Amino acid sequence: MQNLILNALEKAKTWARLNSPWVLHYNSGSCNGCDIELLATITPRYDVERFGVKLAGSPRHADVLIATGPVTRQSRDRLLRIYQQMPEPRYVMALGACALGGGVFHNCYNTLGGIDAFLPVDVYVPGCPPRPEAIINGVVLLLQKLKGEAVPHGEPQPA
Amino acid sequence: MVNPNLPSAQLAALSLEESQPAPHRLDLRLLPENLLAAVQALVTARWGYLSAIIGLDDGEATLEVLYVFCDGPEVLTLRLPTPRNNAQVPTLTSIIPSAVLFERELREMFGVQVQGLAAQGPLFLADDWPPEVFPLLKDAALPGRLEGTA
Repeated sequence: MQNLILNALEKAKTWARLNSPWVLHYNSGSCNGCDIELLATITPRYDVERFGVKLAGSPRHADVLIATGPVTRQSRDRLLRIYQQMPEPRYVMALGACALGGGVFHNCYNTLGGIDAFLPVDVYVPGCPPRPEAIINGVVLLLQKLKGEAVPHGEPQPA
Repeated sequence: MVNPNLPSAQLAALSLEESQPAPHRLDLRLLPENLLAAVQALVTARWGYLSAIIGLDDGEATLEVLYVFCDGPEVLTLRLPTPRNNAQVPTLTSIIPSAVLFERELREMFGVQVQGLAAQGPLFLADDWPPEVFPLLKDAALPGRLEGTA
């Protein structure tokens, strides 16, 4: 009986999360290009809030961490601290070429690599910067992953 | 030079050699002891403004410190050679107080001692950056990617 209630609760939570994932944005060394595109995605022009995607004010309220930029030596500990403050289950989306592997800052003396050198990344959104459509696609892929559906690893190749 | 205020005679007396690498450009090689007099001459004549202080390491035993002054389309560069293993330049802050940021960067990135500079401590590098590692020197031993990871 208790299991039944817990299962129902878990289902309700997943349902809520799918319909309104709250995101937290952190820039760990980006040039701000990706941040501007992310803002364009959230603000009325693309307006993902109509799908329930909303910026959370605190890591403790967030489901998804959207991280932009390479991880710099100075921001590494801050990035880890923000991630540790997020409640489980938590998801990470790496946004832009630099977050994927360092981008133009690769091997620079003050950067340590992409986001996945430090955090488990669920969705990679490439681009320099990625367009809002690409970011929305990334969110859709992440939601598919949350639902437990198979997630494609890229576009199907033309025959 | 378009601006006639350039104190050419004074600068020529202070510099070792003069070259024009491109139109509107003038490069002067100076000894560090003549730097302040040259900068003072420019400031007194009201020629241009200090645009940047640049360290230059081309892998030789001598580093160069470049003081770039601009006036409209014109660029005047004072080039100071200084030995790599004991790099020293005087501070400009007694004449141009805002040069402090350039000089702190020069000290932090190239290990050039700026004599008379009051400000201490790091400016750009991370809090846990190892001391005595100057990242823009060609032979810098950069810390490993994950060294000291939390």
